[in-house]
Amino acid sequence: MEASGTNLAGVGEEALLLRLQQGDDDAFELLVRRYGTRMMAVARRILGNDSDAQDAVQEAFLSAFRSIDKFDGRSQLGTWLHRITVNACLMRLRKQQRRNEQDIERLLPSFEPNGHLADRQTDWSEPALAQVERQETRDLVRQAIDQLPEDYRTVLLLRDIEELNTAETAAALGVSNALVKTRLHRARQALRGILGEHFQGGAA
Amino acid sequence: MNCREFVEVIVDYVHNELPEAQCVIFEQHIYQCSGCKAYLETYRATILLCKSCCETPAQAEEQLPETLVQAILSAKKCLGKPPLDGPAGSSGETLV
Repeated sequence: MEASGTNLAGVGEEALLLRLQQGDDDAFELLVRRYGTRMMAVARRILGNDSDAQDAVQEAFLSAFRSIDKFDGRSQLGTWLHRITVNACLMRLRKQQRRNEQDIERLLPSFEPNGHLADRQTDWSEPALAQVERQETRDLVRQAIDQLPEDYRTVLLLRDIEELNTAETAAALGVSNALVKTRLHRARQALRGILGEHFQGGAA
Repeated sequence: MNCREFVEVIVDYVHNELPEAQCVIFEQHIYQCSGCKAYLETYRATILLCKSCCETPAQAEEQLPETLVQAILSAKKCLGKPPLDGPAGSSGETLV
């Protein structure tokens, strides 16, 4: 369903933007209906539950409304809204109390004094990737991501799932590019550790 | 290159950011060390699993709940017109 009671449904991005900047209520409703579903999917991925995701999407739309005059049209509306949504989610994440966080050190590889890997490594990549379509695998991966300490989980979500680049992620989190890279690497290693415990055990 | 050094630079290797000379040494290590080869493959698989398991399938993208649409529209009414010379919207500015 597109904006009710208006003829805006087929309006292009440029015209929509102009109307939004003029404070047109119908244009705002169209914006919500046109982009809300995608924003909700982003918020769900980052926040992990519907209730927080809905709050974040609402905050994101209000924030977009407040700053629509500053939007210069150099990026697409969808890209701009994606970034606003990510920021709204990050603000909520900072307030959330996390449970079941794993100790990241335990999940990183250990080495002998000579620098060799201390533990035998099994390549579980093929069986794992073969099961990627299964709901069980999807649930497992999402739960594993949720067990990462917050700073690591956020970087992983922004870089590997929302596909922000290093500089964008660093700007969103207020940290250096180098720290984003270090955290991303450690987050992937830790996630690999959690997933490995499952896939190596043949439990999948 | 030992395993510790190998694991440290995997992130650069998978992003194609490892300098060429180091890349050659990295790839030599893969042939010599089955443990690190397995580590690299499972590291790559982790990235792929992460991406594909968190993607929202198109058919699963249901319509935004009407209650949420109405809540957003009401909240926006309370804000009134966008400020022409007001402070920049905080959320949207950081990344743009």
